[in-house]
Amino acid sequence: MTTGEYNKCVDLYSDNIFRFALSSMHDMDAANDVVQDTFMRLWQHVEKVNLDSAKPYLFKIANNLMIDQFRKKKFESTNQIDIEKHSYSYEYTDIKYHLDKALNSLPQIQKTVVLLRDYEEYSYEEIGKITGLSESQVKVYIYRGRKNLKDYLIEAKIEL
Amino acid sequence: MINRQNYEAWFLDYSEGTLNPDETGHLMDFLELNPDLKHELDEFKPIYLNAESIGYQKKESLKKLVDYEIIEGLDEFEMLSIKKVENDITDAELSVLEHLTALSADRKKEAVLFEKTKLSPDLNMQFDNKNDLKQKNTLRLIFYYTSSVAAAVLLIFFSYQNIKKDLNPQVNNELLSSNNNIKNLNDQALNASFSDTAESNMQSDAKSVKRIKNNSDKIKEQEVQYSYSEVNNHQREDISPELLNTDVKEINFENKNLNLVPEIHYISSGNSPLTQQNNTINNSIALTPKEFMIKKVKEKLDIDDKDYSRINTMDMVNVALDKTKMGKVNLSSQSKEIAVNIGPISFSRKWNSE
Repeated sequence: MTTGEYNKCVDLYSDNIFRFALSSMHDMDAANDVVQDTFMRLWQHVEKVNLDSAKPYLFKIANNLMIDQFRKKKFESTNQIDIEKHSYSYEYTDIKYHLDKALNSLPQIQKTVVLLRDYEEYSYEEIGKITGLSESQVKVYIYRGRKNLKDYLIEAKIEL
Repeated sequence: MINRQNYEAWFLDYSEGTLNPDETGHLMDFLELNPDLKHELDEFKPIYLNAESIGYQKKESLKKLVDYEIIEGLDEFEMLSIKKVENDITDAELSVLEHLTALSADRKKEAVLFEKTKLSPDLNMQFDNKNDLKQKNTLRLIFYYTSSVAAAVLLIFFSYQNIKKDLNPQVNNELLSSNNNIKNLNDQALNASFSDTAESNMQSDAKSVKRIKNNSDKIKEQEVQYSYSEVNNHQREDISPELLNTDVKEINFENKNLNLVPEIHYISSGNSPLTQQNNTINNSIALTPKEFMIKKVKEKLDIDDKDYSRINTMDMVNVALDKTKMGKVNLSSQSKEIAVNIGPISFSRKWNSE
């Protein structure tokens, strides 16, 4: 990959990685760090990565970095976003508010696969390559994740 | 033998043509004796059933309408609802789902909620610092060049740490025999430094600094000369062990484990400190290893602080180790030199043997 292609990856995928990290970690600073470190890793291996394979490569790195973060400090942060207060140009509807909280309540692996599935529209196979899971494991985690989301929404007794 | 109790079986075999000639003869003899049965043979025709014409006409009703795996913890309705969200549902499954959904108002609400579990990214959520991530072509050169300098500085420091060991002939020989394997030297240095100092750094940096300084003070430095040169332009400049020994302080490396490195005094004059010790001490520019790296990289590549700040020291060292070579030079029977080449940078240590 050339420097120009690397910079193109920054334009194309940094937002995606940022959304993935922020939705997973709910920590603005940590999400920014993940993006920075992810692209630093890409830059270090820029000669070995093709433009076509860069996106899953980036997500794989970002996912591993987040796993490291969670393992290191079980993720206690003072920078966690207060969904009710932060004004990151979100306009939370009732359903979106609860869905975001529901997402945050999921086990990390379920959250990861659901985000990759819905945000990036990856196939089970592609998610498996990013997360190191088998295709069937990915499917099971996604199905259980959706059931948990639905159960959370029922508990929240939201108006439809 | 054929008789009036078993003649039907003979008739059947005869009609199917499975009797041999002898048996056929016996059958004919039997009919001569029992003429009343002749017409029965004439009317005997086997009945063949047409299997294809017979069937259960409602087999479709027996079939399972859907065939899918059930994931533990999910019931049929939940399974099908998620299949629908995942856009992985067949027409037959959809029919079953509609049937199950219609059974109760709760199911209808659940079905709607399942549809809501499909997340959509908020495109307003954007990474604001894209420009900081982008690279200029020169940065790769910076990385390459700086990594070399970084590793060289660290290696010479580590080898400096091992001077005391070098004074032991056996250890010295082992070190010298490690030609072409700089990683051994580096591991040794890292182990010595990290296990002996870095771990304790976390607890007592000041104490470690003092220990290193005290160890260094015991070494007779006058016989050891450090030099570095840039391979491409053959400039050679010296780092005085005398100066190495003068000031030890903590510097702020990015990596915590490397936060204890003594100041290395870089002598810009290029003159040997061994011959001009007093002057060079006074005229030298005291630099930390990091400052030394920055200075050399800036000189080489003409970059600014912002570009340089994007480089992580440990990354540089890791890259540099892959391109490191070490060699021993016997200058004479009394003078020896170890040279370390890392990319475009070469460091050497020269000393006189006893």
